[in-house]
Amino acid sequence: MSFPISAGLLDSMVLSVVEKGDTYGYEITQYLRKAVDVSESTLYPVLRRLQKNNMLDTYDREYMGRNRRYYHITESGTLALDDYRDQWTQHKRKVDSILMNGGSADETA
Amino acid sequence: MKRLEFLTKMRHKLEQGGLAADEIDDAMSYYEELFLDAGMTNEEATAAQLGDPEELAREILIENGIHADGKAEFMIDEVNVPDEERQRQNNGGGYTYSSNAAFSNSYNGYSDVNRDQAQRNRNNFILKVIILVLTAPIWGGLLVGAIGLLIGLFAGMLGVTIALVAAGVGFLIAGFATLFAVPPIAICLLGGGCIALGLFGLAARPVLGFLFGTGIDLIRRAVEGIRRLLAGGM
Repeated sequence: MSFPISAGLLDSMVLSVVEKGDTYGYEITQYLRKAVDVSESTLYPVLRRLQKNNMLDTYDREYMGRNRRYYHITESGTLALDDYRDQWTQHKRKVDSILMNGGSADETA
Repeated sequence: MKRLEFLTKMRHKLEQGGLAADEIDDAMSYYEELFLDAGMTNEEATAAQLGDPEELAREILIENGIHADGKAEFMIDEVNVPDEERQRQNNGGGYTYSSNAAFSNSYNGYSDVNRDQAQRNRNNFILKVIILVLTAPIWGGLLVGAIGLLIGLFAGMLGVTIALVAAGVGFLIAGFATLFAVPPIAICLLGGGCIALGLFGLAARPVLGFLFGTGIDLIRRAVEGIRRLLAGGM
């Protein structure tokens, strides 16, 4: 079964991958593939959007005679990611309180 | 499909959509890098994973506020959604918010902004035409004068060139005609004719080339300048 991935969730997952250390397009895709069914195709608009919103910086490094573009998380990217993680945690707790607790919304479970 | 075929199709579609050149370059280098990182031997598999290059190009165009049918309706320089706004969009619908809905939402927002911009451009255009017409007595005289001066210059240069040919040929004919009657004058005439034709030979290429090249270029630039003056932003 596949769960829909929202733009915000995908953005945050990408930010989280880049937060671990500067990385490049192909590697980001490989990481994300481990968790969700995301094709390279949907990733480029995400990276571009994050760049334009100043969540990610880029710089080019030479690799085997060609350019490789590395992505680096900015300060506002880190802040946005922290914010999203908080909200994700709350959201997950609420869903779990019903889904994993036999239908009762008792959060102490 | 191999890397080159894939990238060519994609670039073609992006150019057709009228995406800004630096945006096209950015997208192309991203996908080229993916192919290279995935390995030369895996090009077919990578292309298959990526899907239809034209569909990808369409997504990129939509993301940049260009209609997907390949016709550029408007362009945006920067996608400037304030962070708060973006957060609201992203978080508002929780995690069931589909990415497509998010795209089309922001897309509608940009479209309004750009309609306003287009309206302003139209107003600017009308204003410029009015100013141009009102000030016609001032720049009209100057413009006609400048055009006259240019035509005069060009005609003068052309005239000198033609005169050189005429004089050269004339002197030569006269020289041959008087060759036996008055040899000293005939030799002078022949020499003068040769000098005139020689000068023409030297001048013809640069002068005629200049007249045609510069003349046509000048007219084209004048037309382009007027067009830009009328259509360009402030």
